[in-house]
Amino acid sequence: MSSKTEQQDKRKRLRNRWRKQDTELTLLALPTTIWYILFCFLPMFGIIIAFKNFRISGGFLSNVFNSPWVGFKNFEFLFKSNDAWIIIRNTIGYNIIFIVSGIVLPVLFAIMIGLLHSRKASKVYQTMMFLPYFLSWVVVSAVGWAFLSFDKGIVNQMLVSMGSDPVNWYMAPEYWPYLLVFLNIWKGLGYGMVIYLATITSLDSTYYEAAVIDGASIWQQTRFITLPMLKLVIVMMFILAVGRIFYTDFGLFYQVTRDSNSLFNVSTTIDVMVYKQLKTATVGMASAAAFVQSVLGCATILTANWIVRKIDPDSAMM
Amino acid sequence: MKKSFKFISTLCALTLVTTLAACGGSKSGSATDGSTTDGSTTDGSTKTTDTSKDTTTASKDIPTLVWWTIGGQVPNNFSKAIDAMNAYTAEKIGVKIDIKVASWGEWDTKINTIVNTGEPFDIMFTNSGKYSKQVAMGALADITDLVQSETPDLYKVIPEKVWEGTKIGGKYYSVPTYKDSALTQYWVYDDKYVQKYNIDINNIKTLQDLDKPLHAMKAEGKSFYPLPMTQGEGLNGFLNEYDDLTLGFPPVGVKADDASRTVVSVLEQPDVMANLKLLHQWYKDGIINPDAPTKTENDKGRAFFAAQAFPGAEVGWQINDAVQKYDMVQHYGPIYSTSTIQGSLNAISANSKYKKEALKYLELVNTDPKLRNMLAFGELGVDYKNVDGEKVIERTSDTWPLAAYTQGTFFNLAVTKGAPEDQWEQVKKLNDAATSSTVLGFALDISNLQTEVANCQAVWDKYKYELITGASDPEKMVPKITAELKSAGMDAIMKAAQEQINNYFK
Amino acid sequence: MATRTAYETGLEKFNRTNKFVNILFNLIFIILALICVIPVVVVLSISFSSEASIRETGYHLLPVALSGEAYTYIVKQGAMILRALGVSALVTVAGTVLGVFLTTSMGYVLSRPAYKLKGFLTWVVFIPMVFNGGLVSSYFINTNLLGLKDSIWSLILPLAVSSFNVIICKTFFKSTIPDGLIESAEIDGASQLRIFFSIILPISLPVIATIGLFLCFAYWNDWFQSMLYIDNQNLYSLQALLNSLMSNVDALAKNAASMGVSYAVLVATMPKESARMAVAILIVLPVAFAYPFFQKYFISGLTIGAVKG
Repeated sequence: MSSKTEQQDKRKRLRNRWRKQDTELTLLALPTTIWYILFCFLPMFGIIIAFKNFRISGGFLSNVFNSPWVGFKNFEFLFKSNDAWIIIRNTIGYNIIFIVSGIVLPVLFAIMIGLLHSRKASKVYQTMMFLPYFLSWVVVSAVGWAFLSFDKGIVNQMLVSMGSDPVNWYMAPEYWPYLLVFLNIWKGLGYGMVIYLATITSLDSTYYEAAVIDGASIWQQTRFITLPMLKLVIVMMFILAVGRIFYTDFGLFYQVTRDSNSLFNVSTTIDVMVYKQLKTATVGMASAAAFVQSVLGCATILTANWIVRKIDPDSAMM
Repeated sequence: MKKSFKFISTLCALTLVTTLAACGGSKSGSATDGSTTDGSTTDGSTKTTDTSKDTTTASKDIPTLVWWTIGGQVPNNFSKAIDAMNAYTAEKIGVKIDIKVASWGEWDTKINTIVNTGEPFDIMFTNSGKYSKQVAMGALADITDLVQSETPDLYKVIPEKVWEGTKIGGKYYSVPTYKDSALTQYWVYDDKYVQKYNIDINNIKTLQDLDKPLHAMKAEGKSFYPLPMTQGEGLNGFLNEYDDLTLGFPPVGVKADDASRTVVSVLEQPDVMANLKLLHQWYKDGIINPDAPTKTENDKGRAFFAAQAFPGAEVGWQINDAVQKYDMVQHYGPIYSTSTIQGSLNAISANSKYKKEALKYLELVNTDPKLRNMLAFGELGVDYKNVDGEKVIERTSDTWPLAAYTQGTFFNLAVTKGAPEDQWEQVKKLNDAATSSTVLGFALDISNLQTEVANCQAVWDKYKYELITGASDPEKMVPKITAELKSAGMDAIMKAAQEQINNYFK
Repeated sequence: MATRTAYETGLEKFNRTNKFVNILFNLIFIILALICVIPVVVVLSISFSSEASIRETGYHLLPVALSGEAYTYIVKQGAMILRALGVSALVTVAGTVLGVFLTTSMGYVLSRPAYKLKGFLTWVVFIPMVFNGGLVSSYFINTNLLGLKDSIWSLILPLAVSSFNVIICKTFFKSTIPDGLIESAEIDGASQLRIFFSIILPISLPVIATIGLFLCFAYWNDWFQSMLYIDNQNLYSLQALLNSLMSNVDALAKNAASMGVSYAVLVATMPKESARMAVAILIVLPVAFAYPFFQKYFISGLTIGAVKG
């Protein structure tokens, strides 16, 4: 269809016409699009379970469609909790800290590790910093117990040998906000750095060459070249993280704290609460909880994107 | 705005088209591999064991039932052992089974998913935590008439009282496992300390009586805890005197011997309160380990603990804990309650095509010692060997994943070598002597109370570990917990429970 | 080797931080690395401790009394563990290759500013990031429509694409690939497919390595898919096996009451804590070896080469 003469046409006219490139790009995007349809969009009819009193009457589809509608009844339990305030405070509070620390620290350390003189050392550090990522939260919980257990833990043994009293860590809520933040950073730091490291290493080095010729110091280069070039990635990571502000890592807040009663006020988040409430509940209530998280997440992510677009249209995700 | 609307509508159209295409595709696809859309056969879904291959060809005469159960890691010889069982049962009653094991920790998620998605199965292990919910959802078959007409032997082998415990709305939806179904609670002492501190174990009847010996044992050392506990267990059987109406929510219950069947707030009862105070005192005195509310696994070799048991059970503990001798004293029970009976049930899918066959199979499990032993112990010659016919066996491996208590009665099961040979007779004696909770047979229907139950559950979860291990002061905490429970809707639950009980026992 | 190092270090050789700063940075990273390694050492230490020594003397950074108990368990369960390791490896490799293709192709398409369906596809990628049909309906679609039950594909396909990765990829392409490069190729008459496969991919090794690393780790770490879709425990991955071992002990302890007397017998058959930690070590080890493989693709300067060439 398209020929060389068409390509020489003015760009303005081209913008609205379907070109050969568009067909080719569609073809390229097709496998992934099919994947999305199969694994993401087809199951979405499941959302209606949140509004139904789910009953078994045969196959799954007939279960879903024959179950009676109950409106928002499945949502009631979410808003009748006595501790709603504590739970929302914990969820959003921890997430704000996680978002900030999850951007600032990896960026900082990615830049720092790039400035190390020895490549070999930097590789060794990176590999070591990755290890925690592979310990599942259940294992982390076991390791935590090895450190913090009252009578067998490493920390208390050290305290006792230094002459102080042992601490019953799992019943001492004052330490846990720090500990949870620490563990979250500890587990994700190595992983979080990868994105920034990859961006830094793939930056066009002509900028740096020019800067060196102009006599810029390594700090000036970092400040005026590296950081601005990372902006796009940082903003994107920020928007993505904000969309998850109503979700927390169940393993961190439930398994690592050993579901300790004393730590309720500092460790209960939306996911933990929903898990506990749903032990006796129905699939409809589980769907309702997930749906509320989705809607809130969608709202925050779109708001964040909108704000970013106002400030700097190029950085916005959509 | 307009733009995004266009995108979404295109998306919907696209999704619809693909759905249709995919549905069409799958229909033709499933037709070839032989599964049916409404099917409860195993055909399409079991590509696992070798048996399923001949299933598809031979399924017309000998059906293969899918039995979902709970267990450990499946060993290499699992399918061989199942084949041996199938050869035996195919000949005997013309039924084969395909046993699918969900491991202990995964059972919950896995079974919920299977039930909710309507995945075909025939028999399913279930228990009090799930049973009434699954019945309410309509997932399980009503077997009230079928079990009496098709499998009278099965009906007879299990006592009336035990059947009573599986009733929901006056109907049976599952076959109970007739085992140590009546609860008998024991206090177990390490004999070493009994001798050393001269404890008169037979005269200890109440928790208060335990106070002195436990304090005496504390002399062993600062980090020796005479009554070690874990968060999940606490003092085993602490609230057993109250029937929990299968709710799995201890703060609401009926005292098991209360003829008036009054639903009470359990924590506020004077006897419970007194015991809680005692536990708290023990916690403060270092009798209970300070990390009890967060500890998940018991250490081996405990000086004193409470357990549900029967005579002879100590043999197993002695071996496992490497303790010379445990002294057991019965202190409560035996008693039947709905929850103890519902500790192990096997139900049949409402969508199963082979309900009769499934019952026949369960009948055989409950009446045939050979099949019973194969199910409980594994492959003959590899996992166990017969010492005395089908009466006494010796286990020769520790990898068999299935648990005897999930399958069928204990009373045609062999005794493991080393345990007293009259072990099961002893258990049976306890069952026969058992009294019944006054609300036996009643299971609370919570389908209109989901919100209240969910929220009360969350409140209880917030305090339970520290309360039952004595870490928190009951004089302060019980009023606080009760107040929170009330605002979460406990009154509504209690009111509904009382009404349902009054109707049920009218 | 010497030339390669010079190339890798690029600018730094004539433009470095001073010695003092370098030492300071090294110190910081040594501390960080230690914080990350010590817990793994503890896991290793538990795996080599006997149960009795933990009971009597507690946990230690280094085992007090060495014991190979746990590893006898591993050897005894060798067939099962090897099979799980094999499943993990197969799923990780196949999934990573497939996922990298699906992710980068979509990421590239979304990064083309003039593409007509860009807006539409952005929504296709965005919506699943916040909304999903839930576990039950996904399970239904995957098992009934796609027939993934009990198949290795159920461990691979559902995790192949994540919107998060697609968006990272898109951002990477947008910020690192010069427009001029593609425009000149278009003028030369190259098709988009050709541009993508023979121009974009070769110069985007850092992106591919990043996405590959993320996918690889996600597959290696996953246990949930195994738990949900696999009935035949022979197809369990290593992480799923460990999770099952860990959660079994927990579940038994929590349901002690409903099991009656069988509880004690069942608990006795569970692998000991040291054995569980030994499996955890088996999971961490391969990763320590896999990371350097990806790392060597984080090399600067390739982009310039392509533009200039």
